[in-house]
Amino acid sequence: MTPVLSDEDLTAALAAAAASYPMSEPGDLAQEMRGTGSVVPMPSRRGVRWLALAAAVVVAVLVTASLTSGHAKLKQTDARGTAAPNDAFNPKGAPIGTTTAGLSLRPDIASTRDSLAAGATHGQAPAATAPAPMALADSARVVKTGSISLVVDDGKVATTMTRLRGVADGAHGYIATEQTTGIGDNPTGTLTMRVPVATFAGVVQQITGKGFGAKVVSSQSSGKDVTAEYADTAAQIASLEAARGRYLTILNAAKSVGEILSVQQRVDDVQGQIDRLEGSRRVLANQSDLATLTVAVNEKAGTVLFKEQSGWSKAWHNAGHGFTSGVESLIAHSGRALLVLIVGLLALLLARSGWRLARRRLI
Amino acid sequence: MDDIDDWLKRDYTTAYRTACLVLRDPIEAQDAVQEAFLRVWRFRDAIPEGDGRKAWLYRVVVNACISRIRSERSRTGKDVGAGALESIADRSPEPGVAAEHAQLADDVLAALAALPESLRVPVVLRFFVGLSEREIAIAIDRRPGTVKSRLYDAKQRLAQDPRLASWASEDSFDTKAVAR
Repeated sequence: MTPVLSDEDLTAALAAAAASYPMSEPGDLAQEMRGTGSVVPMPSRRGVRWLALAAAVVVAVLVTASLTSGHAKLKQTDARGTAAPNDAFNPKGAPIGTTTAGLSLRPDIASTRDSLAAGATHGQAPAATAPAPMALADSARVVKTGSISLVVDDGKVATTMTRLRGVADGAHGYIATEQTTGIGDNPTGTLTMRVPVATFAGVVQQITGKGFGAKVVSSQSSGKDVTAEYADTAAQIASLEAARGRYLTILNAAKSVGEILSVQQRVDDVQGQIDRLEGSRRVLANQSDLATLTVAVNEKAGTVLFKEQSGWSKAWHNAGHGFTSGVESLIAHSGRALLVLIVGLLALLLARSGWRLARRRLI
Repeated sequence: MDDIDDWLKRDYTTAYRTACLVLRDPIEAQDAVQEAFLRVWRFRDAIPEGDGRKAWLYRVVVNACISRIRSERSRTGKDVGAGALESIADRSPEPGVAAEHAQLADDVLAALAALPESLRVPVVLRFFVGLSEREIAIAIDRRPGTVKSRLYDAKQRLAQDPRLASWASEDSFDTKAVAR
């Protein structure tokens, strides 16, 4: 049987225990109170709560802002043509480039560059036209290519090709090749445009967007990071130009015909290498400055691609589209929302604990 | 000012004895109550009117006691009053305390000392000061439900304490004390 202590038992027991202590006098409380100075205002319970809540909100907003700025930075990196996980044209987020942080020069080129620098300190300045390798490699270079296949209404191929030319012009690009075939029952057109890399994503979005009035059958893009290759080429050119400069100095000092011919041969060899490498560098620069986009336009006879919908069906279509977009948006933002929620809860917990601690210490 | 002074003087004895039961050290208890009363004076603008006044006062007293316990624990690693449970005869009991109550007081204090502060404080506030569960909730800044469960837990533990086992039964405490 569980033993029981009644309330009366406990009351009597505690009274007896308390009475066993010697009584002390309170002293002159009023005297001591007068010496403690003025009254200290007590923050109200509601006020402290609001303060804690405000602190939690501020923390949550700061975390959200930092997350958003991180996202924006990622977007900016995408625009430069590096890894683009959210690129509409690269939905799988396949890495298509690396930043210059991972760039390294070939050891032999680096040593040549070092020797050039050493030569400069000894009064042997490299050729004035030599590019600075590291300065050239400051920006990432990515060769972007893409292809889109479109299907348009009857008789719209020519119009679409014209509009594609307009898109290229609008993006400050140009048409590299254009071909229209099968004039008759099934006309097709193929167009290759070169547009600045920075506008590539926008051009793709414009062509594949609903406003363009064509059905997108396929759309793909790829990117190749040539930053290291470009920097390597530039460094080789620099070292060869420095060598050429040294040979020219020797050539000036040559006295016999044999010496002059021998050194001249070396100079010609180096110049040939410089020309080849310069050509490669220009190609790389051109490819990485301008993206290549090939668009194929086909016409499917008798197919009405964008039929004008009636009010009801349009409404249903919009509703379905809105629902899908909403769900996609919810899923897309759920991760960040969860993180913000967790941080907010932690902040609330901290604020609550701090509030309790503060209240305990206040009185 | 006189109103607060009178009020605190009236409650001094109960507050001091409460602090004794919580701290188990009369010197520390005296200091804690003095400190608590000065805090009451400093924060006199926050003293609630009406029924909440008493609960608020004991909240300040309990906080002063808990502060001393924590301070002592962090300084020496021991609780305030540990080792102060000498025989009641050494504590110069008040005149009028019956000899038969001496052993009881020792047993009760020892059993109380075995309880953690989280249980000891509600028991003292409920059964010595006479605060209601709602007032205790205000005093220790916990929900009334928490107070209820702590009081139940504390009573169970006290009833199972071997020092109080002989007192725990269906008969009333006073009857057995007298019978002893």
